[in-house]
Amino acid sequence: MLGVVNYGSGNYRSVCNALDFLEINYLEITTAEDLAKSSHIILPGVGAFNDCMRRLNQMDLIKNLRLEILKEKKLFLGICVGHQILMSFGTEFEKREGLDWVKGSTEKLIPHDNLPVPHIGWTEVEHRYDSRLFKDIDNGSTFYFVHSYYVKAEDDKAILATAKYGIEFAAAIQLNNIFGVQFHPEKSQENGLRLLKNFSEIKYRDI
Amino acid sequence: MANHRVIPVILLKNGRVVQSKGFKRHQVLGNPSSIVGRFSNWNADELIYLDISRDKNYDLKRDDLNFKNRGSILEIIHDFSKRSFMPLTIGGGIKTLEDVELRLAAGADKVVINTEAFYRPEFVSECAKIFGSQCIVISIDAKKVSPVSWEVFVGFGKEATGVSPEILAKKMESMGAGEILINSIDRDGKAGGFDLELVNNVVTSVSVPVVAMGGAGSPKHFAEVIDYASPSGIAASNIFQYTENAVFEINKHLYDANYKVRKPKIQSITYVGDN
Repeated sequence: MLGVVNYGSGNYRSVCNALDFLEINYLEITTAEDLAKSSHIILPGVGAFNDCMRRLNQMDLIKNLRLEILKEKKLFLGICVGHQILMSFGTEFEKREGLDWVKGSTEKLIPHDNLPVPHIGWTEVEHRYDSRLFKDIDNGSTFYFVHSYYVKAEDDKAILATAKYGIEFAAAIQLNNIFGVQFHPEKSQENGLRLLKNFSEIKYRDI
Repeated sequence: MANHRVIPVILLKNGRVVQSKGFKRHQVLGNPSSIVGRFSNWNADELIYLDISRDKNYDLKRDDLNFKNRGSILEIIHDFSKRSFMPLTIGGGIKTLEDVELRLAAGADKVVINTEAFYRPEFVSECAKIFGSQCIVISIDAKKVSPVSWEVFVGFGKEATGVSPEILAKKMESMGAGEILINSIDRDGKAGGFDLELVNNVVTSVSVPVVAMGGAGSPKHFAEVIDYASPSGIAASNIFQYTENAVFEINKHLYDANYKVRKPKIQSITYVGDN
């Protein structure tokens, strides 16, 4: 079954609402046992990198997340900050270790052309290659973004899709069974719902 | 850059949707739940609910669509986010961290703070620290007081402050506001176009996104304000209530004229639930 990690993130409820609408069964993950019961794990996120890591630490979920994702190869989808903490470390407020599943860091968004920060709004997402995550979603479709930091992956091949906001950045990453999206699929109307449905249907053997 | 956002604003007074003119006259239009269903089907970029009730007395009269009576703004947010998967911003009467927390927990993505931010700027930084700047929108209501100057009014546009909107916007940015909503009291409900100078003054004085509001009467006005001030978002209320398919029509008008907006599209998934 699909599980959604609830660590008090603002968009936990929104992700659940979208899954309810899609009639996808899910369980709320707050413990290691819940993680063990899940085949697919969604980590929502709004707010700061450090805050997200701190709360996951407090709930004692990090070790078991590693076990379930890296060893058991369960499917993982990080949203917004849940996507950023996949990196080796974050640089928001202070340097802080992330999950380190994808080599790289988060960087402050400093776009050219005096564009305002945070980047808030609907921006086109360009696919670098075909992935089941974007199945039946047109290349160049818009998704809703709200962020001031972006991920900078060392391995270019981990970048599944990009978006442009003054600079080009990773809108989505994929490393085997691990997915992350900078935008909010739970707030991206039809395309977002489709992406969540796609994720729920991915099997490890298909990757 | 990101596409300009076209944002319908729903004004709520005592649980009913109203039309506003000059911040004074409010005409009742209907039940919030039925009206919201339309916006999500039309692919609005975002939706703002502003609760302008003077007291917090909600009594949602049943309408002929069989929606349940709803007792509070939290229930309205809750209902909305069960069937609309798009960004939702909520404002009106927010004074405490708990007010913010309850709205976000019910399903709002951002909150709009106005009067409290003016009198207690530290409230803005407290909110930004706890919930993140991205969800703190500060709305500023301004009136033109001379050919070249504007003044901020708070308390539903009634209390003069002696402060210029640019100064307040800068201050709010420094306190951690993630976005500024600039509303023209003079233009409210007049449908004669945005106060272009006012919007431009605010856009050029801060580096966070600015949403322009007040005065939209036709798609042309949206184009005008983009040309003049290029705000991140363009918000309006009455035009979306009175014009059929207004979200689509405005988006189409802008898209066809090569403005950077989302490609207009009618939603193919129907979100309106049975409640």
